Formats: sequence, C-alpha cells, structure tokens
Amino acid sequence: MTNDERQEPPVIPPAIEPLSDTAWARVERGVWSRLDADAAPAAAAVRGSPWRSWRPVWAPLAAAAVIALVIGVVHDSPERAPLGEPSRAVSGASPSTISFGDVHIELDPQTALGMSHETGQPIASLERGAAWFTVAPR
Amino acid sequence: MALPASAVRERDLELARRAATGDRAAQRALFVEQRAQVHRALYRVLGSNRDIEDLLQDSFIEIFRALPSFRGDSSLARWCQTIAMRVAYLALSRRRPPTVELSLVEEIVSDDRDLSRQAHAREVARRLYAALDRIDIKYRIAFALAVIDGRSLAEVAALTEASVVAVKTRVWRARRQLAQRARKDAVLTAYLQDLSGAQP
Repeated sequence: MTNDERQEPPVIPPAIEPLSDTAWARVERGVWSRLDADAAPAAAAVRGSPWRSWRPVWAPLAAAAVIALVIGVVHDSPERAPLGEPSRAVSGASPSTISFGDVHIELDPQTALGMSHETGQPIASLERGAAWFTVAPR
Repeated sequence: MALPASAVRERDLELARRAATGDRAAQRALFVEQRAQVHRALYRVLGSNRDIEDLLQDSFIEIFRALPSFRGDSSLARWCQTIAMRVAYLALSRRRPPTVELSLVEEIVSDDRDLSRQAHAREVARRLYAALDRIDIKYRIAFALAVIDGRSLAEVAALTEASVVAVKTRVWRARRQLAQRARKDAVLTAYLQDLSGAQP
C-alpha cells in the first residue's frame, strides 16, 4: 500500500459482502434441522442476557450469606453446637451431610467448609464448592 | 407505502405467534424477512463472512426458541438483531485469542481506480478488524455498530441491552484503544480519522 493510495479515502464504511444463495440455503437447512432436533441444551446459555456476568458477584455473596446464616443459627440455637475448636468439613467426589443440633448442612462434591469460634462468635467460611443449610422451624 | 407503526407491530406479533407454534411457513417467512438485517449486524461485528454461517444458524435458532417471549415492545427486526448480538458476544468471548497473521499485502497493479479503491478498502478493513480483535468485545460491538455501521447510540444501546451512556463510553474507549493500536499504522490511523469524520 503506497502513500498515493492513502490520498484517496477508502469506501466508508467497508462494504458488506453478500452471502451467496448456496450459503443461505446451507444456513436455512441447518436452522430447520436443528430446530427439528431441538438441541435445547446447546443454546440454553444464550437465553439470558450474556452482557452482564453475575458469576463473580454471586460466589462471594453466597459465601457471605452462608456465613451470616450459620452465625445467626448457631448463635440463636438453644443447643449450641460444640464449635470451641476450629474444624473443617471437606467432601470428596460425592455430596456429604453434617448435622449438629437442628442445623443440617449439605455439602456438594468437592466442597470445603471451615468452622471456628472467634471472639465468642461462631464463624463458618466456605472455602470452595457449595453448601446448603437447613434449620428447623423455631 | 410504509405501514404505520401499530400495523407493523400487529403484523410482527402475528408472525411471531405463528412461528412460535412451529408453523414452518411462518418460520420461513420470518427467516427470509430478517436474515439480511441479522447478517448485516453480524457482519459489522465480525468484519467478514468467515464463521458467519454458524453464527447465523445460532442466531436464528435462538430467535425461534425465544419467540414465545416476543411482546412487540420493539420491532421484530430489532429484537432479532438483539439476539444476534448476544450470540455474537458469546461467540467472540469463546473464541481463541487472536493470532497474528503473516500475510503478504497484494500489490495493486491495476490501473482501474475503482479496483484500486476496493482493494485498498478491503486491506484497510482487514487491518481495522485485526485491531478490533484485540480490544474488549463490548467495545468492539459498540464501535462496529455505532461507528462502522453508523447506527444511533440509542439503537446500539437497545441492541446491546445497555444504557446510552454505557454505549457512548464503550465507543469512546474503543476509539482510544484503536488509536493506540494504530499508532504505527498510518493507513489505519487515517482510516479511523475518516470514520470519525463520517460520524455525526
């Protein structure tokens, strides 16, 4: 490309190359065959708006909620769980369940949950994975 | 003569309703009616027809699956393009990092001025999209639609499900990042200036 060519401005904006009839026919055939097959799982991710990703926000929020819930539950429980020493619950390849008092915790596979007692308050921290807490009605 | 907006909306809703029930004739009518605009939006974002067939298929699959949720709040054309932009955004997000292509720039030997201009335009567009490959995808899409395709910020905001302010910021950041990347490329710098000058 030479400087002389630069003096003549290019087409603005760049032209859109049309798709050939053959290509359109291919696209159309593909659409109908996929619709007929209804490969739902492949496209499920596009349903919601992909422009905003909540995943990074979700994880810390969930962990914070779990911690707050455990603190509240254990603090209010008449049968206080023995959390004097720090402890850690880790699940392997399959889910696990822990119960103390009327609190039941289900751990998803590959989850680690730390529990300790600091300054008079029980603390639970989700190190990885996911945990589900169930408390009996009070 | 153009139909009034209310008639267009009714027609869009009726076509969407029929297509959503699986009426293949209605689905085909919708496909034929919308394909050019969906192609145009995707082409602007991608910069070529490479890989576009897959994205067109994905877009129309998503459009047909989402049809039951079409309420006519926007035109069917804009709604279809919004879905196509989602598909494009996800596809670009999953794409491998761009690689540097080493290619020989064709020497233009023709005396035909139109041919020379077309060749020049193709080459400069290639450089532009190579630079766009290296900036944030949201900036790229906003820039492609607003600056290259000349759409209004409000329309780009609707297509990308963002606020007008967000789109304005994305376009501004895209311009800045492209200008930085084009510093050593006089042809691309000139082209970016031409593009900027062509915008309102």
